[in-house]
Amino acid sequence: MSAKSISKKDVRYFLNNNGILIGFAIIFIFLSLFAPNFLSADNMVNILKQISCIGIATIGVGILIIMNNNDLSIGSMFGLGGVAAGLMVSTSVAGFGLPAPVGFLAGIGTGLLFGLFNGVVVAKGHIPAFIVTMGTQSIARGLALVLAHGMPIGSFPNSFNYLGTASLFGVIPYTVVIFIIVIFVMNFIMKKRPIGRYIYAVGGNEDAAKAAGINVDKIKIQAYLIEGALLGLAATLMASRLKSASPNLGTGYELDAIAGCIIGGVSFTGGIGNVFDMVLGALIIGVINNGMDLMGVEAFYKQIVKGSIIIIAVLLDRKRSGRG
Amino acid sequence: MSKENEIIVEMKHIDMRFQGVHALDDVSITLRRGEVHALMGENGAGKSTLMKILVGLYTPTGGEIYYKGEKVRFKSVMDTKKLGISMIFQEFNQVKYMTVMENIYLGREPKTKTGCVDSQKMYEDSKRLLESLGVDLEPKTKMAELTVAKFQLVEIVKAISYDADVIIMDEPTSALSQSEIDYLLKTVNLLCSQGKAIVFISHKLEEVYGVCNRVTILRDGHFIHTGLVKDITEQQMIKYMVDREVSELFPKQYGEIGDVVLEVKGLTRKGEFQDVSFALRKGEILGLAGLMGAGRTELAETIMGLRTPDSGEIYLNGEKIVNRIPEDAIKRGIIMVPEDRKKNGLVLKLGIRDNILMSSIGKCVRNGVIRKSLEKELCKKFGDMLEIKRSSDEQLCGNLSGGNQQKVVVARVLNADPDIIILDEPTRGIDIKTKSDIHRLMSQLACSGKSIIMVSSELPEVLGISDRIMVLHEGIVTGILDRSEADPNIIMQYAVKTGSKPACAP
Amino acid sequence: MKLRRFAATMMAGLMVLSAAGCSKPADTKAPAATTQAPAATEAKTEAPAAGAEDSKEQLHIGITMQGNQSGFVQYFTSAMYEYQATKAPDINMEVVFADDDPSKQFSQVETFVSKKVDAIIMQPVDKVQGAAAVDLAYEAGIPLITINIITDSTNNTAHVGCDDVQSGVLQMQRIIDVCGENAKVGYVDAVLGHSAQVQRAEGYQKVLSENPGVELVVHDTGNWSPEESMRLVENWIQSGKEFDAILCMADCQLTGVLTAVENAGKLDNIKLAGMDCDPVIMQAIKDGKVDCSIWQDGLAQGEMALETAIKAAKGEEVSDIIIDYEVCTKDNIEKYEKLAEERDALAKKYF
Repeated sequence: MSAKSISKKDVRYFLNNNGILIGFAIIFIFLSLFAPNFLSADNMVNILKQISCIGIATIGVGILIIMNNNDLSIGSMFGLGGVAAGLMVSTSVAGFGLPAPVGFLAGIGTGLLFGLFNGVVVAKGHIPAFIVTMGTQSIARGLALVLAHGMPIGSFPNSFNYLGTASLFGVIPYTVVIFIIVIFVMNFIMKKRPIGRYIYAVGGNEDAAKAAGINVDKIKIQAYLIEGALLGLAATLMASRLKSASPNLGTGYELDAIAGCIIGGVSFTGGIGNVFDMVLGALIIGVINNGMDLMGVEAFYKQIVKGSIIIIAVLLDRKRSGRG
Repeated sequence: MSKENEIIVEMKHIDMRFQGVHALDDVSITLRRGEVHALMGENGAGKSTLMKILVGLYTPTGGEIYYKGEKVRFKSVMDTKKLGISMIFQEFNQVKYMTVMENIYLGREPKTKTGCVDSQKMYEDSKRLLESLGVDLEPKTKMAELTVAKFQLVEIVKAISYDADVIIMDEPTSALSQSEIDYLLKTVNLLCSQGKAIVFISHKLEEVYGVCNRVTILRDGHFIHTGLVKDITEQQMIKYMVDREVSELFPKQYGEIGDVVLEVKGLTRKGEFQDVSFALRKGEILGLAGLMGAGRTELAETIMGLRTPDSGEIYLNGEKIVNRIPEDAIKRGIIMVPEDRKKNGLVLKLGIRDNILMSSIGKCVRNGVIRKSLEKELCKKFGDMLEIKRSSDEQLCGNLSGGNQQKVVVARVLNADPDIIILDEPTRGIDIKTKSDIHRLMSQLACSGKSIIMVSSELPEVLGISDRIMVLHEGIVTGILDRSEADPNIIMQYAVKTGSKPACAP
Repeated sequence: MKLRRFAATMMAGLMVLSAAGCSKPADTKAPAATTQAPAATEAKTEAPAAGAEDSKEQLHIGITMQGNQSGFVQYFTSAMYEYQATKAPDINMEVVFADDDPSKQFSQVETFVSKKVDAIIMQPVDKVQGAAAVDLAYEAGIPLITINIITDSTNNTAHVGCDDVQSGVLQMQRIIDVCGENAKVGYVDAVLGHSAQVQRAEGYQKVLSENPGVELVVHDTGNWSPEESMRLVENWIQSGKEFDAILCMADCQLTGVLTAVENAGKLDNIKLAGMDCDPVIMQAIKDGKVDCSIWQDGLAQGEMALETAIKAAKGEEVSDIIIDYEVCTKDNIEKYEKLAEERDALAKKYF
């Protein structure tokens, strides 16, 4: 009797603490059985390729959510970052035709600039991140449209498209390689660098962090800078992958990125979460999108499935944090 | 005293488990009309759990409850409130921007025939209630304007407005100053003379001896003792609670007192404190006494850089310093254990390790990387030194008992290698064993050459541990006393009104 | 959609803020030049000097356009300005933009009615909600010409625009002509439920039902996003679906599809077809990567709309004008490049 109840409890404990992994496994097994070609090596690479850019953005906003902040301007930054990079390298009339590295620097630089702006206004202006970044969302989109005259930009040199389209040893796309590097670097920063610890502390209890001698304003600005750089990188990679940049690109991406974090168990009230779980969250969204496309699920139903999974994930998360 | 000694509540063989933790094991308690029943035990002994079962917040896993002779099963706090059992929690549940009367009748406002709120009736009813307890409060005052003590009184009035027969007070005096405590205890006496049964959870022995008739003592979820207060000595009571003799509550050691390290000159923050000047010497413990609202915490936070002074200067080792943010203060070797550890002392969502290292993670960094081994070493050092009970270094601070949480804060503070430590109410709401540990530690630190400023509302603590005592009254220093010349009466005199002794440097 | 509107408003604000210079129209000799305030959400009333001097004969035409961000709104409006400048210098043209807000557009029409303009040109923000404005003008006895989008009301005096069903028919027909009667095709929808999406899909269906040999392998929405469209087609190819051709309801989607197909090395096997003749896609047609796109003559619509409005204002009989879509391929690309160049130059002149 007692042995049974203990084992039941253990199962529940395991479920509560590994819900994301189990959820992922269930989805994965389901799709392996029912989606044509899902389990092929090609498709695995394909999925990774598809989630790389949004995955980088997910990690970026994830550290902000851990810090009990947020960023709603992600989608617009995909538009603006891509346009900034694209304008530098494009050989069309609108572009400057500069070398590819300049394009990447321009994209990342734009991200840094907006990260700095968001960070300073949030930290020094004491305005909720939600409101500040809602403003930047609109500013960035507007700027992208102005810079690109509302038109997509193409005619990129092959050197710029290389990172987005070529593969390491002809097997692993460079986008994926960069994504994996970002995962490990960010995991290192969050776990092994003081700033990572500080981000958790600020997110967990800002007052306590401040009283403990953490320069909260500085940490916030630094976190937004990191996030901005990641967004700039993601946007530039996306442009390189698409071989074109569109000022309207990325509408609604903030929802995908934030959903990835939430599915990955990042607490919406801050202080809890880790990089690998965020990636798992992004992976779950990517796998579901891919699987449904392979199965030929109709567009309307896809949205319903995606929304349901997000809600289930948040319910699981609430249960988890309710125990703590 | 009508119906004296009538048993009103009986809890029999209560058993409570939380996910494998045995919080209560076969605990019984009886409450009678007209008694103040002390419920004692270290933090984590199960006092609050037992009372939360009584008010219906938790459903026990075993045992029976009899209320007014009938067996009952309470399902919610609202149920029990209506039946006449009210609990006054440590955290207040009041709406700050509403008036006293609105708070008393929150959720059950008297209505006129047309369904509107009947303010007139509400006013008259609450006025009558307040007067019946001798509480001098205007029902239309905004809660935000009241002191913590008045908050508590409003809570009590609210409980009585439900016609409560049983009132449970969970550490009601922990946030109060002495005169406020006296007032509250008087109210408690009045209530019990009206035939109510009162459960009084407290760590303070003098209050228990002052106001309670009977006492029940728990330890680690077990029932230990119940009996009349007058039949048990202080030593015995402590022994029951901690299962060991606590020889000395305030183990003061005398060390060598050196030169002035910190000097504050004319520090002023409008509306909080004015023209505060004092000096702190190496190896000295300076007690900071006063009533609630005297500006002690505000003064301490200003020195730490949590608040900006309007005027005045701070000198560290003769050099003028300005602490814009706490980071500045900590770099200069000044650090603080805050008053409210849950609010700004700890990150409850993080583990013990992260909290201990929060102020000084740099110590564990080599070549820009945090080394696990160094972290472990420091955690072990402070964990062992302060005897922090923990299942692992990663255990969440939210799951620790109050005493253990306070130890984690102290560990964090010590880990920053400070020269000057400010402790704001360092022993509030923690059990006697931990309290004694912290007092011993403070003495040791002072002996090793650290300087300490201790803000405390507990007079015995201030008198027991300080080398000198500075008293504040409404933001003004009314006296600085030497240990030898201080006694409770003098301190209270200075605390309640502007004294004659000038504020002075040593 | 919402975001687009947000962005549009924001851009308008930015343009106003940044410099009057970038939105200032080129010098035109027309007296009504002062009425051109494209960046402002509400056009100013016409310059007092012009209004006061002019005789009663001067025709007053009120024009309300959907928004001012999208390329086509710019083309329509530029064409009207140009027509006024070159062919009808004596009319008084008042242009306002509705910022994609149907209620705003309704009140703009209300204002025109109360000003007793001689004719109204309206590019409805919304097919359903635009009907009320049309009826309002009808009841006031003011001729109203709808441009580009038709409303549910039949009380408009005339309609000038294209037929989106036709664009779908042309595109699908072209692909069947190229790939044969047993082609396997897939297509990427625009945002689902949008009127262009519904009608273009209708056009596709029409051609498919006439060609039973053609197999529709799959279709799904790309949400007007190149990235989503790219992902979609990558996954289609991944799932082993075979295509002879993939059609897109918008060129912005085709840029993503093109990359996906190119990366999969299937550019030789899969014909691609787009719509709108975006510069990026025109280049791809020249390079032989994309088979065709569909040309919509924005300038003609604007011109015809104004011409019709003037006629109607003078009390002449007018009728609906449908401007044909045209198929742009490698063979005739020079023509459309030239047209696009002229069109963009004109848009730059006025915006």
